Amino acid sequence: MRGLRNLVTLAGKELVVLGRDRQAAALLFGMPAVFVLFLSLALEQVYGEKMGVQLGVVLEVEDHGELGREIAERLREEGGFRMLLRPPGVPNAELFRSGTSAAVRIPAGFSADAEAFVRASCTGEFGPNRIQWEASPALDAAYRWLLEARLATTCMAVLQEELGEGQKELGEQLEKMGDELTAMGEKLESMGTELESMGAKLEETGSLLESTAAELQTTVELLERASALLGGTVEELETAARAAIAEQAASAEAASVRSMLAARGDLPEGVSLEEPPLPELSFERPVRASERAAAGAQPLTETQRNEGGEELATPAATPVADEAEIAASAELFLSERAGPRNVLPTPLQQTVPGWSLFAMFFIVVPLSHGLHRERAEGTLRRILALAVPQGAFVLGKVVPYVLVGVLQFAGMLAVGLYVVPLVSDLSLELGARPLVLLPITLACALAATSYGLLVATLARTPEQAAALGSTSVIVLAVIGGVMVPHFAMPELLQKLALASPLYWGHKAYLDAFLHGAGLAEVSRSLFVLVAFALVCLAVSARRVARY
Amino acid sequence: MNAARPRSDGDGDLYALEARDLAFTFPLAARPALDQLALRVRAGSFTGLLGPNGAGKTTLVNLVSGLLTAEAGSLRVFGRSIAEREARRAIGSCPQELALYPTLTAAENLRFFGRLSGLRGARLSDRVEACLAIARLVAEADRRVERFSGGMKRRLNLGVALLHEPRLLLLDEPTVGVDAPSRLAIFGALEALNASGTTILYTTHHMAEVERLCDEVIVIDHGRVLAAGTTAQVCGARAPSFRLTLGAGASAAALAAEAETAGLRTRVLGENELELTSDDLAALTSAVARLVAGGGVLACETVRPSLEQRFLALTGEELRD
Repeated sequence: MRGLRNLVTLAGKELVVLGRDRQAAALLFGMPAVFVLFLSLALEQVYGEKMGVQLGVVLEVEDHGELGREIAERLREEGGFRMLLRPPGVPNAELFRSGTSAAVRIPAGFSADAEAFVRASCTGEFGPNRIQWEASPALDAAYRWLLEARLATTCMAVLQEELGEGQKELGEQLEKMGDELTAMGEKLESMGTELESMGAKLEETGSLLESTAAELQTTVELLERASALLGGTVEELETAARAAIAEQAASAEAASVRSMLAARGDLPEGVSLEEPPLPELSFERPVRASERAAAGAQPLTETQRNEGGEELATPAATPVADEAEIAASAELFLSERAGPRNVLPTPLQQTVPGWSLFAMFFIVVPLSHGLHRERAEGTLRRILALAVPQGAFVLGKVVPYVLVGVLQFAGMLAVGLYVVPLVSDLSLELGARPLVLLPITLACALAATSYGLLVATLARTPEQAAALGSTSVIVLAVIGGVMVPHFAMPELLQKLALASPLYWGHKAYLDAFLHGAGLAEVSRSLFVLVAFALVCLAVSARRVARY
Repeated sequence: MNAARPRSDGDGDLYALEARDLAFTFPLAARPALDQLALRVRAGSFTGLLGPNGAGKTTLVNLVSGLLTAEAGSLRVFGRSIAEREARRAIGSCPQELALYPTLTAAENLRFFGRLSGLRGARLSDRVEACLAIARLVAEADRRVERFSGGMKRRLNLGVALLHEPRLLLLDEPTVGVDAPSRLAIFGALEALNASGTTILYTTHHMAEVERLCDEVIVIDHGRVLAAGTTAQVCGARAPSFRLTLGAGASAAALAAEAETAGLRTRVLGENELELTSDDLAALTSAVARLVAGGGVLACETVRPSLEQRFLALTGEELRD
């Protein structure tokens, strides 16, 4: 109880002291608000046509297929870039030197590969003819990211439409095939009736053959007698006679059947009386990757064939791959990598959590300044002399600064939701489950505060703490995807980003914004953040009283 | 003021602070900060703790405050081990630094430290009012400390240490940087506290303050106690000096040379003034008698050594950086 009272007292004091520090308030709330506002507007310009017109992109279309032409057309009309024709024989390097921002090439065969990909319902491997693009080395990373995003989204849109048309066509084919199957059933039914009457006739033929056999027996006996007279063996004559009889009977039967069927005149030639085998056509239903993985088996198949034996595809009974899954396949038709799952954040979705995290971690400056002041002025010594445990003192710092972190995010959220839309067309989408933002923010604020305490207790002077704190936070923000989107980074930097707690925080926010992630989906990120915080706190609690 | 406070039995009533064979060495330090230190502070006394820079005063105060833990030896406060909560609660500490939050008001600072001391409700309010009165800051209670003068901050610093009515008050140079009126106000408050029964351990470099306020003195250096007792005992442990005023025909230098041959220590204060001293009181008096009898000495004055002189004699005059 006494510990809790001490904690409340320490936290309350910290909030009052912090609340009266105008510089700290400006740093913690003003700075990120300005960043969110201005950088969102700047990114909006990047997204918009105004800036796009200024960026010249050479578009080279070698593909003469429908899909390739459609993508090129859309890039010209809606791409947000000034699409240029490639001067003959000029290499990319020279184009870039002359100010061209990027070169895009749609190779021959792209449409064929794309159509094959669509026929497979956007599953499986995309063919080798993928869109190639190269950006000028001088092009800013944000524009590279934008161009990549634009290419990916344009391709996605075109392929999605193609997939939709294919499904419509397949539906019509299925309907037609159903009609044909119905007609075939009716015909088979009438054939059955006719076969019944044919059976009766065959019975009559059998009786006839029996009487013929009796006559033949008589003939054999006569032949035996003749053989005895002529000197031939009875067995040889019998064999010859039986073969002659069988040939005669078969010939008579066949002639009888043919004449009967010919009399009807409605059975196509070449169709035997045996039941025709069921046609075999393998058709792959579009199946979600997750379904396949769960089934652990081959894709589901159905078999259909029309009357002429032509293979028909059948649309899936279940919904086809959703937008996110198609987006996940975007890397298949781009020769360069696009973003994670290719669902790209809007400028506000990138900047609001990014700069909130940056501001949260920037509490290292006021926190370390305050702690060093307490050391220098003797208040820390006085507090500890009152038998307040070091752990309580540390928690007395953590609780208010976590609260400040939550307020920071709430403030940035308000800027994104209410202020930025006043001056631009941007709006902030929070995702399907916005409540998950609270645990994410708590974990981020805890990690930020703990890191601030760690820096404050490791540094020997306030100057050291300020330099180490601010520099390290900027570095962590850069590699963590706050300043440059993570998916726009080279692979090596993407791996390096895992070392930054800001990456995990930003990732959790983006998962919530873009994919509607819930607590379970962001739990891995939260675990990393909380573990990071606990390590920092453990070290800080041991070092806080060293002066 | 201290009537309601619990007291322990036995030596606890006799000694407010008792250290035995106390040892402490800072990491990487070449020599110990406290080396088998032993001392006693009588309950109810006003004790001055003196020592040059690096003598071990602050280390001792930090050990008593519970900020450091001794490597060896024992430390008891009113008969209880310093590890006990009751012992810690009996101590009030006023550090040399202005251990206050500048952006809080005087009353907010007092309330904050009062709560951490375990005070609540009406008791807390009463003590805040009382300490504001002791610090003579009642009218300034709601002003932020950052707008206070140095003297006001010093008085408030003392007031914070008194919030929970400690029986043993540790003061580490509480008058640094304050003007004379504020110093007098602090002195008055301390004398009143001591008169009401609070034991005060007063650390300072100002010998005059100790001579004025303290009835007992402890001198430490190199982590050991060099002298302890009443002020008179510490100063009187050494023989007095004789200051001679010479006539016109006498030479201070010549007389000094004659005195040194007799084994005395001399200090020429001017052409006509000479101070003689020796640890051997009998030799000193006989030598002075011979010089006076020899003529040329107009006056002879006995000079008792000051605390500062005694301090310098004990610790040496070399600089301590």
